[in-house]
Amino acid sequence: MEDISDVLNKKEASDRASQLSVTVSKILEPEIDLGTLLCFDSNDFDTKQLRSDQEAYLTDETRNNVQLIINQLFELPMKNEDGYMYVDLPEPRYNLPREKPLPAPKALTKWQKFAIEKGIKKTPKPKSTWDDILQKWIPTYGYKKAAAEKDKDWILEVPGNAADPNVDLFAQKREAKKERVAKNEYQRLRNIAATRKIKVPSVGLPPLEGTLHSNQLKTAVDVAKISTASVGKFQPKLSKEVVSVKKNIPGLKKEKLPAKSMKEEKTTSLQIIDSINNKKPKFNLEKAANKAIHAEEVQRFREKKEGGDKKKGGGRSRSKGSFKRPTANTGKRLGKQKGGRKRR
Amino acid sequence: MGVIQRVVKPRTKRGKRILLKKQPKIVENTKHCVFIPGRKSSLSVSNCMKDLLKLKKPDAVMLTQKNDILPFDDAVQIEKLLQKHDSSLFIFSSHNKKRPNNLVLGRTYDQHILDMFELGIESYKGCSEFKGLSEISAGVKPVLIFLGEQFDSDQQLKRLRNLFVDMFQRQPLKQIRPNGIEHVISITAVDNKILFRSYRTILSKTTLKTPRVELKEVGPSVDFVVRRDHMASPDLFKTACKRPNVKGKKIKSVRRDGFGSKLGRLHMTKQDVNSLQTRKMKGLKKTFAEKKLKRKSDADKNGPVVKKPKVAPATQTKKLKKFSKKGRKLKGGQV
Repeated sequence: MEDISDVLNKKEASDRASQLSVTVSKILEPEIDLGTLLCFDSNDFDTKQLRSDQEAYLTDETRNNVQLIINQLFELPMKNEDGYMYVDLPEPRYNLPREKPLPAPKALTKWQKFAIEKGIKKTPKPKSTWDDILQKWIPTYGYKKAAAEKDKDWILEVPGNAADPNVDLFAQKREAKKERVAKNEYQRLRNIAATRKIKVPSVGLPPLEGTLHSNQLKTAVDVAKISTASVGKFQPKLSKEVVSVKKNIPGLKKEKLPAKSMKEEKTTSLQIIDSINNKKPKFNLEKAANKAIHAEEVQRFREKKEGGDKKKGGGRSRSKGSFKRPTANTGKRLGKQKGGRKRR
Repeated sequence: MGVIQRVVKPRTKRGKRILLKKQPKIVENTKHCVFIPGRKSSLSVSNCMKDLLKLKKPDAVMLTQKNDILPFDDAVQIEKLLQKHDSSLFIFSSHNKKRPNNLVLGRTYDQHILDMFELGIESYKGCSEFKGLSEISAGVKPVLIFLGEQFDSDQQLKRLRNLFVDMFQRQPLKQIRPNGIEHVISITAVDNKILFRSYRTILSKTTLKTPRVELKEVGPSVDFVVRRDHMASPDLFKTACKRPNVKGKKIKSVRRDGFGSKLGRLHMTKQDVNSLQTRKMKGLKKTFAEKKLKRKSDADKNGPVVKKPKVAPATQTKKLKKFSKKGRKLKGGQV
């Protein structure tokens, strides 16, 4: 009996000793963040001890704080995995700045914004559709789609209202596809530019490649005219300039057309329907008349040329637009030049 | 600036991965540190840099060339260097007559300098004088102890403490082995000085569950004085500290019972018992003649091999819709 009590006493004593060795008492409770294994001890220093033996004092203070953290860690529920004892750490409380800002949500494209505004929802397309002509499933896009298209469109019907039946429809189709792809790419890049806030010129001319269309030239003139400090208010007119009523300035708001009457609207819509329904070749009376007049004129010109060398000074028949002031003995007449008529 | 911003498009998968890695993430990777030697250095400064590099090691690089940079005059060069190394912490060393034995600790947010502190080394004792740092396993998360009430009362020191935590905490952990705590860094603010000490722990068993800790100094042991500083405005610091709202996606129809096993509900199509694959045996294998016979009978029954649509297109789309509503088809038995 004595032995047992002896052993118990010894155990109790050792327990008390180890308890003492583990416990740490502080006036102010240190702030401990177990998530980051962090301890902020804002207790005052014992100045006397610090002055006399700094290193030993610092080590002692640090040890006490580490002991506190260890005590807290061992209180957490212990888990066992592959023979290793571990604890789950709580979420870190101490806030540290991030390295990079939070990722922004993916920016919507122009179309997506528009679709949301209008409430347009995407209708899911089937991945492949049955083709009755080929007797095959044809994928909507991707692998084997192009091959199927080639099989299907080995011949193309010339539409009835075609202006020129001799146009290569295959080439036209290819070109149209190319254009669509280019447009899509352009829009994709524009969307990227919008999200990255890169400035893209909206006003101006397309890059100078080859000759410009007359419409493009008109646009260029219009843009140039208003590109002054006064927005073109004091811009003088050229001598022979025809002021276009319709200004082809990209980005400028178009004026709203006045509302049509019921009758007018009806006729215009009927015309549209007519043009769609009527697959027969269009007969443009005006164009035909113009053609006939042109042919007549050409014939007359030839006749005149053949027998016209005798006649001179027939300036009356000239139209007013092509009137040329006579040059009074200023130089030689060059006559017909080599490279054909000078085109203006 | 008149320079056109170009959209960088990666040409290879590897390049794409690298760019993706550099992009902002919700859960960030550990901050890396770049050690930048300045124009001139002294022995103690360069040794101190080397020792600090040892403490940071897997998440740090030391630049080998000298750099003619004055961080407090022009921080752009440092920002560029950090951007190049895709890291956000830096330690810059310099030594001149006006400010001898100089270290600049700093960090960036969104590729711009957030905080910078210039610390002068008053006294320095390297790791070689203590020995024992090599016994600490590499990459272990240290315990950080901050002593002194100046860290709470002084705004400058408070920010410096934040920087120190950022610099030395390593990556945040979910789990830890309590017996695996090996390294302690203690930083003390006393008499306008910052005392940097680093220790190795020795855990001795007690009769209780918790062990007793003893510390052994392993170095480096440095006494710093704070010189110049550059602190982010409270607004910027607040935005930089913004925490993401990390809410996981709710997992549907999966639960756990009291015994810790995972239970799930599956939505499956009706099982065809006739075509069920049972145990494969050599004896049950079809012979070539049988296979041929079956193929022939199939051809007689169904005609050509081309598969025709079974349903009209209208019903097809309907079926598709229903399928997408129900979600992903689950495979297998119990989750």
